Amino acid sequence: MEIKELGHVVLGVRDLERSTRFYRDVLGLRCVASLRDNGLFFTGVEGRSHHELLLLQVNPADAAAPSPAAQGRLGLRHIAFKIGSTDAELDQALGELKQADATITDVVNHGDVTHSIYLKDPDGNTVEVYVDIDQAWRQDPAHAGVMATGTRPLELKA
Amino acid sequence: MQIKELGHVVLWVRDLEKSVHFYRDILGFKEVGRMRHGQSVMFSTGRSHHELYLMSIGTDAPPVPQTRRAGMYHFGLKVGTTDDELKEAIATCANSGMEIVGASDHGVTHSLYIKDPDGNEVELYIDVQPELWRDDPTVALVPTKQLVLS
Repeated sequence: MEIKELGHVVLGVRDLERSTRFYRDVLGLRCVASLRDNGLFFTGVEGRSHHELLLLQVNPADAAAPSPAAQGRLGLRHIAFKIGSTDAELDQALGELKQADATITDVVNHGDVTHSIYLKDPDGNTVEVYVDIDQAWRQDPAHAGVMATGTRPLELKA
Repeated sequence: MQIKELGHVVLWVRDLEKSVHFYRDILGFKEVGRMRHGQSVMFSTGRSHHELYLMSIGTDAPPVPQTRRAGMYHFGLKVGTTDDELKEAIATCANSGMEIVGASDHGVTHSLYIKDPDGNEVELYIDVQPELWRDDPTVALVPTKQLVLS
């Protein structure tokens, strides 16, 4: 067996309409189909796969369970979405996120490979939106390693 | 802002070597490199610089909840485009003593569900050919059926 690619992530959400406003209207994912009346399929604009994110409404009885999004728990730390390849795109995104009153937690430069904004989704999951400013990893996969060693704050105009 | 694609998922793990064995040696995810003094590992298929990033958090961390709740249900990893590749995945799981907790025919995918060493659910799937969803995204909505491999 060999993994061909990361296909999708499925999230249970407390309020499907609220999460749709976040993932579709704020982040700009494309909603491609609905699953009965309690789920929605999303893809990026490049249409890489049939779905890259599936949001499922959790039952009201289950919605009260504590969210697992808290830092320090095993499991999901964050999900990352690529939004482009230039600082201008990240700058524009930061302006839009501020306009939408998003909960921004960090803006960082990962070793001059990616520039990233970290924020919270409506259920408290951490989401990263990033631009790939350097493509050297395509020739040398190990180059990705500098990301973790060289993380520092990033100044954007927005 | 427009999302171009889902780039990667980052997980906190209890035992990094156990998780690396699972994702690299059993599932066949290529290890790219180690960071944070060996406490983190990146995996990639070449589509992006990393598609999965595991970070060691230590043995005291609370477990992954196994009940329905807000948060991640599972993530899906594509293992091919033919039933033969999915059969190979089933054989690999059996040989590794891994329990398959679910199997479904989703129309566009044939899927297996397993648990990683921390209890995260992982879907292993093949994209059924031809890929009708490329022309009509709503074909992903066919009712789920019992999986019968050809």
